[in-house]
Amino acid sequence: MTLAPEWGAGYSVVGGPGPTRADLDDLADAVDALERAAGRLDEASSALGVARRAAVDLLIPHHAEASAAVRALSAARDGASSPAHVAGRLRDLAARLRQVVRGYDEAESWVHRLVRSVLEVDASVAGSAGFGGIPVLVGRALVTLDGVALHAVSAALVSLRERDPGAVQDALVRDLEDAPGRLLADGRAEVAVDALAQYLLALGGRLGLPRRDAVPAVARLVAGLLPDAGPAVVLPRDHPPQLDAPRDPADLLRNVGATYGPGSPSSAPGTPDGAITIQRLDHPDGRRTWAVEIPGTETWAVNADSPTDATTNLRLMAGLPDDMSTAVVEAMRQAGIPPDEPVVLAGHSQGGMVAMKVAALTVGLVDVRAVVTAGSPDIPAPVPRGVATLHVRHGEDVVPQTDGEPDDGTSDTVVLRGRLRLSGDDGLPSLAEAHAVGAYVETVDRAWGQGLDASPRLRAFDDALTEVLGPDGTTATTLQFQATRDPDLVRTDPATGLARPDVLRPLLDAGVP
Amino acid sequence: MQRTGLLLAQALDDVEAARRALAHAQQVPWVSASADLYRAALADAAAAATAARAGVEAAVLPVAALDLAVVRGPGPGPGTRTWTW
Repeated sequence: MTLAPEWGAGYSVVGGPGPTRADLDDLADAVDALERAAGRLDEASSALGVARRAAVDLLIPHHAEASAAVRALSAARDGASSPAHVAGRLRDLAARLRQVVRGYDEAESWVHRLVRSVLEVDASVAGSAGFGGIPVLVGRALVTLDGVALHAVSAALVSLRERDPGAVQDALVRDLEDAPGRLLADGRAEVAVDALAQYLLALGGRLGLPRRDAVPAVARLVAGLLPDAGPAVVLPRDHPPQLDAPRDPADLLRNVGATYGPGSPSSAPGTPDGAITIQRLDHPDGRRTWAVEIPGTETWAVNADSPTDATTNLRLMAGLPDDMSTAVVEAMRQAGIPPDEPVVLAGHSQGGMVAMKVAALTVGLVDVRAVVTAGSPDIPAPVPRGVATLHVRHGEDVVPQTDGEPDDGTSDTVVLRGRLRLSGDDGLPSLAEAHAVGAYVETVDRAWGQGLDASPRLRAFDDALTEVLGPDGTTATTLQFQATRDPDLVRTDPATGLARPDVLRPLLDAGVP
Repeated sequence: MQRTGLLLAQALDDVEAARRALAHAQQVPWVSASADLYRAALADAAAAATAARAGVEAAVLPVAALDLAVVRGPGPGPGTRTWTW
């Protein structure tokens, strides 16, 4: 009997066409049926064993008949197709099926939902009681968090008690960076972020039912406290590196990695912070399409020279206009992308949030067909309907969990959850390793290598992406732009040496408060 | 002593019940390549269960012959002379 060896190994997919998580009940029923079948086969094997012993007892008085019966019963009980042998295979299949069901269910298990509501209510109550309520929240957090992750949240709360918001970020970044990914693989970080946001809202005297948009609401509150970041400009790069024509999502993410600035190991030489890659794809049949590749956070400073900073993160999470999304739209305009040529947007981390935001901002202006994000949390501005979207997220990566919401798919949006740590592997990835763009490239490479792109949930996305990326023989011309707030570059155009007449203004978001 | 044929009938009943459970397990309305692999694995499993039943059925005649011999009573012992006329 051949069982499916790759079935569900290390991946789960949420969303896409076809049935949704409601079908987990059917799959759980299938597990039960397999185990029932295995149980009955075991009973058959046991009955055959008893029958054989009975036949052996009759060897003396009825030698000829008993010998024939013992031989036949032994063959039935111990042969290659014996009931016990088949039962073992069925249990193996049931175990694998159960693993897949568990993988899907982890996205939003009832336990998860219960823990979330308990923490949200406790966070609101603790917040309304002032900082003295912190132990209540921490006590509840103990139920769901452990080790380093608990320490990080506790440290952040202590910092809040001392009214030192800067230390909150330091404490979270310092402690979570080194935390083993397993602490987050079940979405505990997402629950913790949501609870922390509920707590902070309640501190502001907003005690009430837990809000579903607690994280964006807190991000808006904090963003409102920051000084203005100043103007940003978009500069075309001379002689950008010519990156390979992307053939699949892994190639897109590989090019995203090459778009990072000098601090990243995946960066192409000479690439500055704030770079945006736009590839013009010329198909053999004369069609032309475009790929836009956007890096993630390059500095954790606020209001940095490069808009790939913490300010942009905060504003994206808050659903507020941000410099990087505006810069990408401006770069697309400068690249000359016409409204009728298909575009795919790809980004890692913050870059994925920017890709989602740009898809929402450019409705009616650009023909965005597909979006690929890796390690990115959801943002309040949803990708428009009809745009095929793939979110790749590692279970061990805390960053996609900072939206405080469970992963959810739609017919257009597919969430591919990959696990970095499979049973039998040695060691656990750190959070930095789990979030690295290189790790996401490997995850997508492996998924596509296993043929997941042909599965019905991913097939529609893959078809839409292939339509943009084109067939073999498609060539790429790489353009690059730099988004910057560097005052010298903002004041004076380096190409002409003349002062700039005006500066970019952030685009207003349609439908975002 | 329990009759061997009854035990064999129980084993056959159990294998048949497993086959029915496998048929039920294939009725998953899930649509995907993974589900196709699952159904293919279940079809293989059902085929293996059918082979198991064939193996058990192959024991039916020898066991029935044994049960019949037991009902008839002990056969002639070693050294016993049998006369036919």
